[in-house]
Amino acid sequence: MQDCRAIRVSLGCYYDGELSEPERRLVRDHLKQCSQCRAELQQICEIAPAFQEGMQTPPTPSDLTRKIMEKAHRRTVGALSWWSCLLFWKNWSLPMRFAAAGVIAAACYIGIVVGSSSLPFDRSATSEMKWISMSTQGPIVKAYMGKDR
Amino acid sequence: MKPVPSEDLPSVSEDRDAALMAQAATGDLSAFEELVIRNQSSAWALAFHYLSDAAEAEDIVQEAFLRLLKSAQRYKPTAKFRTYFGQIVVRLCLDSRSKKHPIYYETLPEKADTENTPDLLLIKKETAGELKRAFADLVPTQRMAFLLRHLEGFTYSEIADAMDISPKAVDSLLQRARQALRNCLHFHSK
Repeated sequence: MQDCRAIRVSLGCYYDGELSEPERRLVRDHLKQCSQCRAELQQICEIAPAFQEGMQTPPTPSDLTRKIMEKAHRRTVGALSWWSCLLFWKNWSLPMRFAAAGVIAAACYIGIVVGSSSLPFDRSATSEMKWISMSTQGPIVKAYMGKDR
Repeated sequence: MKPVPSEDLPSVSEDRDAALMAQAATGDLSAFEELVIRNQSSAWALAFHYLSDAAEAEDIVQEAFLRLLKSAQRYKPTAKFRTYFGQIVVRLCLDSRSKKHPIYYETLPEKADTENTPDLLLIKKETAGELKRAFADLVPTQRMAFLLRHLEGFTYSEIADAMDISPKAVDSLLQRARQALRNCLHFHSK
């Protein structure tokens, strides 16, 4: 009886081919003599076919591949737009990178210098500008600017 | 019908999947598309039978493939592709089911059967219905282990990898699942 209990625990593994060869031989020898364990194994053998017969899988949705690929494209393109900027830079030779960095730095410098020289930073500059604009504007603007003063 | 142990299957299919993964990792979407076509039906069957909800199963399969694409660069061909992908599908299914609701099998389509007599058909239909209910009553992890074994033909160690448990725990889950289903079949055959 004890023997049967130990064997029955391994019947599932025996059916699934998960036992080592010595264990397998042990179970096989026991099954030759024990009709109850054979009946038990028979029941285990019936489960998988009954399950496979009873559980019918509906066909895979016809547009599943398309939906997956659309999402994959969207995600990949989003990631690539950033990555392509980096790749563009990485593919340049060292002198090219220095030249590009020099051009960017020069552009920044010119932008700062021109910007700072043309902006009125103090009051006197502001009033000078107003004077200039008054002298060049028509009478309505002049009147308005005078009122404002 | 006993599932064929994966060791007996030709490794050509696995090699092809691994090669496609390597191509997908470089951004080759046509390789990824082939990977999707080759593996979507098994992922669909697993997700559908686990969740028994077509819309939810479709979402899970889509998400699983997108995660696969995202992780393509980390994939090492030393890991079996089907275990690797199985793990993604299993985790998504288990997470999804842990969030909610009971299972309804009434929406499953019935296959037309012209070979059986009406009586036999009725018995088979009743048994199938009972089996579906017994399967739906299983603990989620038992259900998943059973599906991986008998639907996907995974070995115990592959199931263990996919579910992140020990092979001994797989054996225990399968034993309990079989016991519950066997009781149902036995009851019906009496």
